[in-house]
Amino acid sequence: MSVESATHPAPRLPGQHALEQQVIRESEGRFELVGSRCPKCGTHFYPPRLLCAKDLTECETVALSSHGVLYEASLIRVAPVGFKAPFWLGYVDLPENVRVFAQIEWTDDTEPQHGDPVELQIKLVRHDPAPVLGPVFIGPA
Amino acid sequence: MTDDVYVLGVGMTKFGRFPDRSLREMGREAALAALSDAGVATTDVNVIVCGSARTGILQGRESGVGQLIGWELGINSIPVYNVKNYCASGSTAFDVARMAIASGEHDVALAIGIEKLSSRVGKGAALTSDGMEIEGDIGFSPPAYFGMIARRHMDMYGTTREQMAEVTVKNRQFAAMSPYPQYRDAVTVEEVLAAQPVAEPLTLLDCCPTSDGAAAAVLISERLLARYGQGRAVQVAASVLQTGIYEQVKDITTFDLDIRTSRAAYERAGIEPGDVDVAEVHDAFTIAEIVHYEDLGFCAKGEGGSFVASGQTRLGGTTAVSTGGGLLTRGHPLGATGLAQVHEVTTQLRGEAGARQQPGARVGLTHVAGGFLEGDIATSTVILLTR
Repeated sequence: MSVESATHPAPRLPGQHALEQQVIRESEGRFELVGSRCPKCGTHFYPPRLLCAKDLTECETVALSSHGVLYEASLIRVAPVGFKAPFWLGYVDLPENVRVFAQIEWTDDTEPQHGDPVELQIKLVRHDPAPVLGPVFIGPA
Repeated sequence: MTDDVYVLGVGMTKFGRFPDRSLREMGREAALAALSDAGVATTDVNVIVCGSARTGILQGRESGVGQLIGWELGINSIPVYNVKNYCASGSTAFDVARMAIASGEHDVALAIGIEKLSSRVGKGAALTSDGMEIEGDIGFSPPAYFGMIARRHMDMYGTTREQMAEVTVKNRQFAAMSPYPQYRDAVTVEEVLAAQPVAEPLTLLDCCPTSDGAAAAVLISERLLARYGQGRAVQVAASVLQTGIYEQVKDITTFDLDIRTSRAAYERAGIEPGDVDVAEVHDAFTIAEIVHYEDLGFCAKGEGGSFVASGQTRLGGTTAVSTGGGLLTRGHPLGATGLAQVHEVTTQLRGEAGARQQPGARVGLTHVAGGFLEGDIATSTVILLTR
């Protein structure tokens, strides 16, 4: 059974939630994690923003890479309200030089480690009080 | 050229979970204690600056906490500034009060920090860290962030869980010698390691507890100092507030913001990190205190773990750290923490800290690193006090 089918049985479109509205878009039947790219200096930003923080040029919204490298992760043993422990949270560095905070899912018996390659899936990150889609990085990839 | 500023008096409540104590009650107690300690009458106060972070969402009082507490003491008709700046709200209030005097605009300022976290008025969504709304929906909490810092620090520098636990052991020992902290019982390294896991590798005893409380300080101009007697006054050698650069792809075992803020303060005061006898740092987590040793310059990068294990941050060490018990034992009532730190360092520099007195303390530092913005720390304050 894939991780995907275990936690995200039914595809759904991004809803009205702030997380979904800001960082997820649907393109040709696939979900993408989006950031901003400054057309003038080429700097990428995540989450997306209107103006480049370096030169105030209006940014374009772009899909970010789905392959990244785990910077670090922590196994959460006491869950915040609305979540069920245990689960891994981590920072993933993408080739666009942005760092994404995400849930981490591990498909073998090892523990996520600094430098591990990981792959993005957009899936449910929260069920309570309402289902919310967000970035989940799967490893080892 | 600005005028010299002094801390003339300090006061604070006991910190702990006090769901039945109101903002006005805790604020009144801390402010009266500071005024009494300073020997300053309420009618002599020129300006109030009050710091709090979450009184709006939790206590239904977004604005006007400073007016509320002032009027509890019968203080009216003077300027009141309310500041909100994450965990640094209290130290920001101190800095605004300092500027109010240094500018020559005022001579006597009452800085108050206050927070009530253990209960809330009405119902609402669970609190997320300000500036981390997107991350909050993914499950973010501050322990997760510092759990990652701990893993990275262990990986890069060989820092051990036992060294982290030593921070709690030390701060609990200090807490037993102070009347103010919430948790004053001794714990062992083994007990810290065996406590409820929160965000690996951190356990419950690696994290600061929920707390309520208030703290206050009376600041005075050099011009008026003689009128009140300067015997117990402590000089503000520097107070610096800065904000983050919000850079994402970086080494999370060091905070560039804290390095910048502390170096600016050292430069302004003409003080070297090695001169600091006593410090209250933002030990919201054990690993945070270790990282702060390094960023504030008390030891070299990567050596924070062995620094605490060596005893150099205990009494008689090069820099006694968290002698007031720190956030780990007081708890962290956001707006109150910065002024509770000023309370402890002032007490140390006066030589009035009793059993927890750092011998010969002449230079003290307080440090708050507060809030998040896009994965970076949002603000930092460093205050240097001398006697």
